[in-house]
Amino acid sequence: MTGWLKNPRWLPLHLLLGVAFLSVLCTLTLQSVAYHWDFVSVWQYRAKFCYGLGMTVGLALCSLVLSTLFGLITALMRRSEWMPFRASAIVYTELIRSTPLLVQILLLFYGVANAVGLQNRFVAGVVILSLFAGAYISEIVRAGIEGIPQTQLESARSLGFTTFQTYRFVILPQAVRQILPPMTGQFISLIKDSSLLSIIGVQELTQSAQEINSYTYSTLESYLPLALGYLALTFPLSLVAHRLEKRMRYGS
Amino acid sequence: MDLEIRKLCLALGGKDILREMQLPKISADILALIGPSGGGKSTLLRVWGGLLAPDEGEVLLDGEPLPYSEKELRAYRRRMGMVFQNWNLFHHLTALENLLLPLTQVHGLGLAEAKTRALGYLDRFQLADHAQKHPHELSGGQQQRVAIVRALSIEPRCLLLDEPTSALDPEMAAQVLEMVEEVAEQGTPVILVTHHLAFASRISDTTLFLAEGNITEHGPTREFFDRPRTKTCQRFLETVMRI
Repeated sequence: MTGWLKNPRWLPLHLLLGVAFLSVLCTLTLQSVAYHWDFVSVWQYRAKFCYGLGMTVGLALCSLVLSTLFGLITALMRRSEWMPFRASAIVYTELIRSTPLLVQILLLFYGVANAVGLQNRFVAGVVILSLFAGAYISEIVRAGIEGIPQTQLESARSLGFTTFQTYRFVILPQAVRQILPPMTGQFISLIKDSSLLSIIGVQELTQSAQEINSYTYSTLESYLPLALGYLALTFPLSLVAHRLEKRMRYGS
Repeated sequence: MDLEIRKLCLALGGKDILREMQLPKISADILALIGPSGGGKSTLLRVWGGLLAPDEGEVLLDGEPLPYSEKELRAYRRRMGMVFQNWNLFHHLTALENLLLPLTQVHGLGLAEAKTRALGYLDRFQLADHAQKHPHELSGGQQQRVAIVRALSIEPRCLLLDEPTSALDPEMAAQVLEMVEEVAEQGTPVILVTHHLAFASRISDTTLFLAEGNITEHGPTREFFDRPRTKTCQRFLETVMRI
């Protein structure tokens, strides 16, 4: 009887119902605080908002590339035969995963970036975000590699492949299919986490919204579009992640 | 091919698998390795395949001792055709691509040449129809047959088979064994680890019986199956042949 509830064909309807329900809830809440809406003054800063949105996309994309590189290198180091490689990979992932991103941003920006004379906030932001996400990605990559049956590696070895060839032709092509769905999720996190970079003054979406708010004193009119902006970026991605996951489950 | 083993010792994960294994020089075309599980059959096969370097002792193939260093072993492995129990084929590649990859990347063949050779081998074993299929589109038996073809296509010194049929149902196993027989008849030396004793006794000319990390008995297959000399072999054959 509840079969239609689970039928993916009705997904748009479900979403609509969900949105309607939440809207009613929000309206009731706002009415109780008697909020006066004033979107006119916020509207004139729309260019700033769009600039922030573009910066957020840019930050997330650049960080995606760099963090994937960090993650890949760390995962390979973690699998290395040489102990110092393994140890540093473990220390890196554990340090990153057990401290808050905000703390890392503050420490790395005011400490390390200052020390090496890195002034560009965008570049500093990308590097910090990538260091953060790289630790998580390395675990995703590691799980992807370890999910490959041992005999596949043994087959490659018995055919006379070098370690490099084994990674290039056997391990990575197979791991990518395992890795893709969780990586999409990681990209969503990157987009959201980039909002914290406003603390060091990177001109991204959250920073823009904060500035618009300080110009117009219209808090909700600034922050509501902010939430919608992030949603517009992440929602399509989570649909993609959903589809990838399904495709994985039903085999290739 | 000539085989010889001198005081071969090998431990894996702190456990002695092969213990001072000895084998005087023997000549065999089709060699069967049989014996109880955990006796060291697969480990010995991996040593011959160049996948495991011995801790001590020497293994000789056609009078040449096997190398120890990883680099030399890799070169040695390129000339050995190895097939495992399952998951031999690379999942993300079609049957044909599975054959092409080692030919082009390891043996330095041009793509056109590799393709001609690969298709020729697939055709020879009635697998040409499956060339464009991925492993998950093939039955377990077909996967194993393609794996054997891949091992043959590199024109190896000998074919090493590690229980190639133990993950298959009887019908598919029969097809794979038929193919092994064909390969053997065409003159490629074969070393085979198997639990199919009837098959082993039919196609092999020499048999090694391994138990507890040692070669308990070795000799011409017919003699071995007709008149096993040691108690362990007698008991093993009695138990296994009963079912």
